Amino acid sequence: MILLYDGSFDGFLTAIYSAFHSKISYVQIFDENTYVYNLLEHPVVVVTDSMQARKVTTAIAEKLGKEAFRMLVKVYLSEHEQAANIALSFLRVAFKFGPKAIEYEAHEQIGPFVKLSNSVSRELHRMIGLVRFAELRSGIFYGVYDSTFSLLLLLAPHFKERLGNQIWVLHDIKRETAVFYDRSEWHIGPLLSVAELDYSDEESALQGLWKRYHKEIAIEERKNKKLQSQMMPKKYWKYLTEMSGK
Amino acid sequence: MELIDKVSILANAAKYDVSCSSSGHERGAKAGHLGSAALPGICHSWSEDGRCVSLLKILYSNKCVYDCAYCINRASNDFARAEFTPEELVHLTMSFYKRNYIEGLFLSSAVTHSPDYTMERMTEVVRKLRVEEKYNGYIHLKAIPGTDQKILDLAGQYVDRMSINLELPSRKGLLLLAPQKDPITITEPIHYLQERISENREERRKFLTTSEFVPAGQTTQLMVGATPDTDYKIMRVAEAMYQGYSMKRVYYSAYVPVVQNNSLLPMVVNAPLTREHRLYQADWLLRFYGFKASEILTANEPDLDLDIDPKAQWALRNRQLFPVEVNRASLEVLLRVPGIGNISARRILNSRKFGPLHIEDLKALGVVMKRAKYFITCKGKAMEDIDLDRERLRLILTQGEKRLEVASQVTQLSFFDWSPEAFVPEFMRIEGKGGQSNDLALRW
Repeated sequence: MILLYDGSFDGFLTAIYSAFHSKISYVQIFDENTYVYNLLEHPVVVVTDSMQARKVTTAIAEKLGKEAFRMLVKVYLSEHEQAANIALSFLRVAFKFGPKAIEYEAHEQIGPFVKLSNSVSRELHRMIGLVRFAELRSGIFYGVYDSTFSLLLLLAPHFKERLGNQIWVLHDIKRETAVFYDRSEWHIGPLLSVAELDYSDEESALQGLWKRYHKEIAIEERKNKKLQSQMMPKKYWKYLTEMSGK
Repeated sequence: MELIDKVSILANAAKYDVSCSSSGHERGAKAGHLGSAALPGICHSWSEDGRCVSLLKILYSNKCVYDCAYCINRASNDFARAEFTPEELVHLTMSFYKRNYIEGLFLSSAVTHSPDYTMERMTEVVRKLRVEEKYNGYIHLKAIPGTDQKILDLAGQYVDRMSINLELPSRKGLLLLAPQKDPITITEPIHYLQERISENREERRKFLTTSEFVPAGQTTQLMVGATPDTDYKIMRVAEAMYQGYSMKRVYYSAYVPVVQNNSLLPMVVNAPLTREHRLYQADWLLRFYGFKASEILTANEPDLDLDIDPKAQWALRNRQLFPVEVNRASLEVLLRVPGIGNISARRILNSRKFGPLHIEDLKALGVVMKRAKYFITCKGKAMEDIDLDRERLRLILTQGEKRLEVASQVTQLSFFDWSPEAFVPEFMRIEGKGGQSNDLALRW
């Protein structure tokens, strides 16, 4: 049987809840926004139910611990085609082991869950370093990035901490969503590509300084562009000030 | 002079100091301040030589009065000189930080006039950052050898980490190549800082309101290949630093000939990058794998093999200790197996709690089976001919390894080529081993 959810986290959890409690043993869950219909299957659309979603989160938080829950969120944010199935597979065995479940990476239903969560963590950590802000004339700092996984909800708290007394916008350009921070709280909302940005007078000079700095610190005798792109994949270069023009 | 030219000159002059991570201290946001510090450190970019860019690494001034043979900034070198004003540096740091280009500042300097004079100027920069700009991010400050302790006391209140470079693996080397730097001006501040840092840690444990003093500890750096010192010597100095002085990191910098025509320095065509890489691998063995320097090298075998990593080198010399059973071996023993690193060892121990591991499980747990299979058994069974003769085994373990210095091509090896699991936070403390002096005076 195939279940489709609406793409939201609550929908994700509702589908998992249904699958868990259904008598049918072989259930697959997909995001209806990306699911490719074919003639052979008749998928059932799950109606998002926050009560059921809450039951799942409570069960996980209580029986599997905070870390497992955080991993579940990351798996959801991975937008991986099989994310829901990997999560379901994990949950079917995890409750047997309790909070230690996530340590049992050798288990074929637990390993993939942890691995996918770790991939998201890795990109998150990289992105925290790679996001670049630019100062607009209005004094707002505008940051834009392009990531494989959906990281906005995970990046926002970090930058609230880091740039607490600035006004900034963090834009996930691929997903056309942004976080707006007003010095006390952050809010999330849709944001299409911004056509023309009105930068502050100093911005261009500072970008020039950074580019020059970045060039000067490389030791000629140790030049290794292959290593550079290994550590900092080219897919991220588009919005990096220092790599513009490369 | 334009700011951009100052940045060019002074960033260029600072690039040979490699001890510039942003790790070691966690600090959340403070009301009214800007910035935070992350415990593992954060890489913001990578330069064309493949190295991580985390901090704004720069000299306050490169107008040096000393004349150290190996240094690009030495007084007798015909080289563009520049100096920042504190305001310029503060503005640069804050502007870069707000744009998330950097984790913080790494400030060093050539010795202008005198150590105290230089250190006072640098302290003014960090004071302005903390007090006037309310900057709460990371600061790493170099300490100039010979600085008065009172200035160190003041500077230490404003920064996360401090470092003083040993420069060379032996006192003899220093006396020869940098005669103006009396070795005692290096060891004294290292001692002093270590005492102050431990004192401060104790006080903070007792009284939570005590302000911090260099909370991320100290590091140091030495050059490899500028003197005939062996790897064994280098490892023993590093070990003394970690055990006797709670040094957070020792950095090894391959000697890059920046100075031509000096009879004191070796005629090096290519910087010894492979050797530097092996030293970092050996350093990791000291800090994360429970090795002693005397296990890795001896007076008779004083240099690391360039073709094979130090752990494999050790394993080949100690085959009588293998094979080990993965389902029963302790963490310390598992860490000694080539192909098993910190992360996979931990995973093995965790998964073992749920039941015996099968051979198929090991690969999924991150064990590099290509190497490990010659040293382990799983549920009593060996996977390969573990009685393979030494030469054949050595050949297998060197497969895939490559030298870096090839004629005109000099490249930096990635750590991830050999030990992908290496980048984990320290979990093993190196205990002071009794009966062996860690006194720097004896080892350096």
